Amino acid sequence: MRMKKKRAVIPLASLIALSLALPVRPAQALFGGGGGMKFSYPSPTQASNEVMGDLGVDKGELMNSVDVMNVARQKKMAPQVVLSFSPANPVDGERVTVSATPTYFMNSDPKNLYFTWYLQRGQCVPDGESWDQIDMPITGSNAACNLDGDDSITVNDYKIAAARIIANGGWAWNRTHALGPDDSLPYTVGETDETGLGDGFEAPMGGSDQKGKNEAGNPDMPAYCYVHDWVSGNEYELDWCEHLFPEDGNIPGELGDGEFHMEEEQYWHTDPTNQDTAGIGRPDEANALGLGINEFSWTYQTGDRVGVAIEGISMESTIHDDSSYKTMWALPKNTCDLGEFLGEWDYKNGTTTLCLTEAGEVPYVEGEDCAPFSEETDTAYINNPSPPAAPPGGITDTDTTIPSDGSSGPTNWADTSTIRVEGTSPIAGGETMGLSSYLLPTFSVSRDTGAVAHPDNSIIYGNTTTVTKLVTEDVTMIEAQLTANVCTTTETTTTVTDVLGYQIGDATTETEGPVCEEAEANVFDMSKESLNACLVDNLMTPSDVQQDGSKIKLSLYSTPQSPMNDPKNIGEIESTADTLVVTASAQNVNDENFLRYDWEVYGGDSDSIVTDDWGEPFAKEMLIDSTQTSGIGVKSLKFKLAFADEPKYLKVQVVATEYEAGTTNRVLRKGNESTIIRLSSASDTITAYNGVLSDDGVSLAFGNAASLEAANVICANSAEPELKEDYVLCPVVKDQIIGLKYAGAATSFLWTINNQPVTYKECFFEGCDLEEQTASTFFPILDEPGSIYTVTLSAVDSVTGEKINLTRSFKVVTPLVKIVTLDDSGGAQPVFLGTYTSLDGTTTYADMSQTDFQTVPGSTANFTREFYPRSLPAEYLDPDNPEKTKTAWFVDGTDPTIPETEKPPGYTPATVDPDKTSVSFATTRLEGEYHLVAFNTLYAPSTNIKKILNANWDINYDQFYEKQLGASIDVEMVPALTTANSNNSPPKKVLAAMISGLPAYINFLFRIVMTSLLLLFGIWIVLSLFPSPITNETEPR
Amino acid sequence: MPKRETEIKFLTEWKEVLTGSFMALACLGLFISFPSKGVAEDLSRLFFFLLVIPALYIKLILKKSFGDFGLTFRVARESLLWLGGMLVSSFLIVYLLIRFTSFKDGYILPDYVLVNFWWFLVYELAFVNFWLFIHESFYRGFIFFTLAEKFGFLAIPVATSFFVIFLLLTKAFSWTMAPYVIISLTGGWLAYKTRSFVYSYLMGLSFIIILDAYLIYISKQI
Repeated sequence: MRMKKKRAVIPLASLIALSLALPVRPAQALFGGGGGMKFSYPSPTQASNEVMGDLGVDKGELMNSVDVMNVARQKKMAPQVVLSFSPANPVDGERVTVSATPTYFMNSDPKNLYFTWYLQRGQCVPDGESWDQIDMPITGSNAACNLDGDDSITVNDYKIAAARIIANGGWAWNRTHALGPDDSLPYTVGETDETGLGDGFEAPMGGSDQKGKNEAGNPDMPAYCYVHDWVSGNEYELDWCEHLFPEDGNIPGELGDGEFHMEEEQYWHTDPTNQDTAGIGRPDEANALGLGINEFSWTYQTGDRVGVAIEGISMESTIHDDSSYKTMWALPKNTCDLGEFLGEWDYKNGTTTLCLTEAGEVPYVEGEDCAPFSEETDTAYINNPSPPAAPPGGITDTDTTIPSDGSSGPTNWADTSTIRVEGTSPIAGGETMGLSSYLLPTFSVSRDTGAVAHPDNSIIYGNTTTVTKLVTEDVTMIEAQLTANVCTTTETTTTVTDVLGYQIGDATTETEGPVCEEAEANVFDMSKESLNACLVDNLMTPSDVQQDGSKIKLSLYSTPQSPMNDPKNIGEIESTADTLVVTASAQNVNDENFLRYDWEVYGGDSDSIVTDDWGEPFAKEMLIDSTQTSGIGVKSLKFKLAFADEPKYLKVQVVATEYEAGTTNRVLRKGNESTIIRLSSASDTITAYNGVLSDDGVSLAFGNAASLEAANVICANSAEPELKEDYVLCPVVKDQIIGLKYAGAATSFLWTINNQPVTYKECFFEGCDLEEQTASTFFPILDEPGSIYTVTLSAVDSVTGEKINLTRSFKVVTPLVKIVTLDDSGGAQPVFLGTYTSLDGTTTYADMSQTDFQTVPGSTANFTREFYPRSLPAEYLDPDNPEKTKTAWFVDGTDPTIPETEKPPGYTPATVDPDKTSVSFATTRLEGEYHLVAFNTLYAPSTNIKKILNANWDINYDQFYEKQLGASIDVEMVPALTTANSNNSPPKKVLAAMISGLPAYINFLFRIVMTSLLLLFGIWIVLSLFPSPITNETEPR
Repeated sequence: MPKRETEIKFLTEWKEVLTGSFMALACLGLFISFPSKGVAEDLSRLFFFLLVIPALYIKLILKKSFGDFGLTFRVARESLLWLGGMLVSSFLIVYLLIRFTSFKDGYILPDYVLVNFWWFLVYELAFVNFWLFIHESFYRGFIFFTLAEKFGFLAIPVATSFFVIFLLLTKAFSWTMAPYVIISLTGGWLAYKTRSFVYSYLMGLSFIIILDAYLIYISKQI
């Protein structure tokens, strides 16, 4: 015995010794020890991790894959169908076609599927009923919808309505007279089956390509029907497998049985003499049951709904040991509540703990911490004036009658609760708990004062007893046997509280079970009627399907692209404010002309874009010269950009509303769209200059020593009407060189002239940069008079990114000169011709002659010349000629500057200033006589300008423009100067104003009649002054 | 007879002549000076000052019948003879003018009446007719009969003088107006003898039409 022990110890010791002697690496590798010095107690999990790590398997990914595999069964794609309507937004009486696009069917061709259409007319749903009711009561108004003649309107009636439309194909089935000599009244002749036309069709289950399935006489090829739960992803086999075709009620036969005799023909409104009444290439019976009918058309009425159940075989096989695939139906909305058909439990492989959400019902909610299944609160009251016996004190739950005063007890006790009393009022001070306050017929008690006390004979109620029950069930799935053990455990916890929520005593818990029983798995008892009921939930209107059609698609376009905001000079021609036009274009509407548009305009800065907070929209009055902002057909908004606060951005928003025909103010659909428009600032300007030779004599500048820059500005903005016009359209002369200079914050520039970019091969002007355009540019006027130059500057502020578009326009004109007086008053003055009034009638201007002047004998007349355009550069006048010999004044035909000896006798002495800009002379003529004054000069570019034009713009020397300018005036000697009667006040005499507005001839007639009457009245007065004939009154007769 | 009574008697007896003359001068003055523009206003001016105002003066102021001023037409053999005589006389005068003066060259007719007979009729029956009627009613009817009461046949040259003087004042005197001066004289005698300016109007219209036709005829013979 001892030897045995010894023999047993030796190997053990050897093993231990060996273990200590051998390296530890193998063990560490196997059991996860690390560090050589430290051992950990290995677990199977660690071992598994180590093994998979050595195999290169990522445990996390493996777990993910397992998770996916665990639910893969629920992720498969069941047959589906998508409906589309055309038109998307039908109106009453319009022909609508709905197309079905099935997917995830195994059938080789969609034409082999059965499309069971069903059409619920709007009139089939009486007032007060819902369209998705399974059974629609028959009222007087919807009796016509009861096509199968039963006692309610169901989905079968909707199927019949659709099947008749499909099978009939427009054939006049109910006509009462023959159409032509070869026609017979419907259903009086012809029986297609008997005559061999063969318009019957035997429909195998799962599609026409599933020959033999469930057909009579072929029990070896059963079909198995399934439904898909779109919530859980489970599929359930039905204990029946039949078509969902419309049923024809009491007539013999049914759709899909292969026979289509006369009664069926009549029932389905098909032509008994035509095997394909609808003309779509299939027998009548196939058409009626919807074989391959993936489109359905009908005449739409408001409230119509349509649906389709497509029967075919799924992509997934059944679990039956044959070649069968699941026969399934696709529904448009995938809506079918299968919960009530799932049986007593939802299977799940293995054993788990499930919490019941409702006693004995499914589905179960899985979770370790089961929420209370139910809570019950009973309300009790006491009417015993004596305090309850302690302990535990408080109230009991023996009294459960609710007082008869109709009040319900408080259900949520708080720290301070109101307790109703009945009877006499409580007696203050006599209560053991005291009252914090009271108010008849209620009083409040404070929780920290102790137990509730109450006056004699009063009733306090609101005492509670709370009972909480927890129910769990353990379900074990035994897949192989399709059965499960269901073990139910019920826990009941009872807690008693007083009226103030104090728990009285400890809660008590009672546990029952588990009580186990074996249940049959996978029981699913959905009937055909129930599945048909689901079809009603899948009815659709066009607006349900066409999400696009439910909202008006709007597009906004605005012009110009970079509009200018200019709050200054509103209404003046020099205003640079652009007129913004925003136009909306609407799609998918019935009639765009009858859309109502509501426009709003917001102003903001870049923050507004980021936050989309634009504040209040501009009021209509703030949109200068705005068109209507609301109304039918107001598809564009136009207004002037003259916002005083100079927003950088505008947001223009439009809402379009389409109303449904025939109903007052009923909105059919709406659409909205907005656009954000960046505004340019009017503070940036372009100033135009007469380009002059710089002091170096070879390049161009805005000013030089002889002519400073400020003096060369042309066509500047001004308050004077004529100058305003020049600012808007600057008159310039051929061969004139115009300089333009931008003032503003922009840093990058593009100058274009008549949309052609300005380019130059070398720098020849002030502010030039050979590499890129700058804020300055020069260009010559080369076109003929009448031409327009439009110069546009596109600029970008590289700091802010703001884009700026500025434009100046120039018109080429023929230069002119005129003689004007230098005398403010006295001397020579132009003849007053009359007045002209501004277009708005507010201002009257004197119209003075430009050729006729007058002065009094003996006075001194002073004249100068004035050029048009005003911007005519001085260096272009009689250029290259310091003596100005081509410029001359003439007074009465004599040039005052010629030697005295050359002057004719009797000439008028006159003085011309040295630069020949003015002339002055003392009048020598008598009253009624005239002096004649004339001026001549030459307009031509100077040699230096010609050189620049030639060098930079390739103008040949023989192409330069020269023009002799001249003007002459008469100066009449008058006894006194007449002054302009510039009466600026509007006409005050109403009659005069009215008469002046009449047509000239009416005016003439009025004058001539008045003159005639005046003449006659005058002569009548004269005649009355003549003496009467002398009569001798005493002479007897 | 005291001087006062003499003056009263003079004024009483001559008041119609005086006021009538004043009216005639006033009408002619206004006719000349009243500003007008275009054919419509010119015709309206003629119509008002030479026809409407004298007519209103006669009816409203003098309260007399138009018959007193020659607007009457009684067919009488003697009147017709005078009409024929004056028509012949007018032709004799114009013959002398054609024969011995440059009347034929200075007499101007519109181009369109020379080439088209229907335009000739329109011209004669519309324009000449209208102008002549107003002309006769004013000079013969209004002026002549106003003056004839006091001046007798001497009123004929006075009325003609009114016409000629105003032609001269308006620089409208030309060979084209010569036939109207002729009928102013012959028509005046006819009106004096028949007490109707309608005869002088008919005679003048006949004379002008025949003269125009003849002048057109001879112009085409050349």
